[in-house]
Amino acid sequence: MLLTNTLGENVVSKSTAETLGSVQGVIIDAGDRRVVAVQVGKGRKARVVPWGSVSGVGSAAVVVDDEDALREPADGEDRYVGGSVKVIGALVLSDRGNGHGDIVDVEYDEETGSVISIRTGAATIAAERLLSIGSYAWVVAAGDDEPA
Amino acid sequence: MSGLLLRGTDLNGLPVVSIAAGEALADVKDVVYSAERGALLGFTLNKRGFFSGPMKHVLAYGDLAAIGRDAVMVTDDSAVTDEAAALSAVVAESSERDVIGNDVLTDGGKRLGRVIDVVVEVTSGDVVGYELTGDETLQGHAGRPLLIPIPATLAVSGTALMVPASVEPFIRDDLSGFGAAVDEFRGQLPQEA
Repeated sequence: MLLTNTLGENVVSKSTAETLGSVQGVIIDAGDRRVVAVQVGKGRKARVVPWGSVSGVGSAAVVVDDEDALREPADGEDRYVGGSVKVIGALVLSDRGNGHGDIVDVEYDEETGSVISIRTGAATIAAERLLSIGSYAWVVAAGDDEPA
Repeated sequence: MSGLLLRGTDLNGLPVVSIAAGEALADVKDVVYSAERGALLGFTLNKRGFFSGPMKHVLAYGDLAAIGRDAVMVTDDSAVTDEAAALSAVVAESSERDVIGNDVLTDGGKRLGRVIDVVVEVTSGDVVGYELTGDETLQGHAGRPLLIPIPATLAVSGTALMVPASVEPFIRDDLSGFGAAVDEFRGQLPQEA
């Protein structure tokens, strides 16, 4: 699944079939290379749903267990929700200090949340190369084609 | 010279980024190098953003993970620490002997020009050449930079630099072919004891 297809989708409660909001972003753990939570709504009303409470990501909606799955952003998550850490539009920098463009999409496994690849205008970068995610850049291990 | 060549001034203003966190810790203010040793010693730093200004912190070359076109990379924020006494002494010493503005003389007594920038090989941190303004007859094309390779070590007085007269055929006007010129120039020098 591409993240740009998930963004903007309705978040629907499995128990009530009510729409709780729409997907405004995801929170990614750089160490695990996994989507760990989905951001619902923005601004002060923004809430997050841990990946464990997401029962399905489809082409029409993101289904979550119930409304109680929504909670306040925790430490670390607030950097994503507040916008200091970006996903789409974030700069990708290699550990050799060379820029690889801005992120246009992230491919992830909709079953597990595992990130598969990071796409910039210039390249598709395998998730295995991801080293860290910060407010300045996503740092990836340099490719073989990069000057030493 | 297999590695990337950059001008010292290209490094000014680059962000210093932590590989562990993806955070920019500072911006490069100035490049600090030793003319005698022909080596990059480190960087002085500026704070980033709205409250930018000089930082007390310095970054030693040995604490760098990499220098790239777009950023200077450090492993984590421990590389940017309070001013280490040793490095600040080095900074003070080297700033007394800033080669920018110095005249470059050959050992044949010819003046080649005045130093306006240094060329650094980023993998090794070696200063491999200088960019000059000066004798336009040495340039391949008018208006292009005048890049001269330098030996691994050279005499520096504080006002002038002494280079072998044999450097003249290796003067270039483009960084892309300059690495090979440095190799050839250094290869034809008498081996130092």
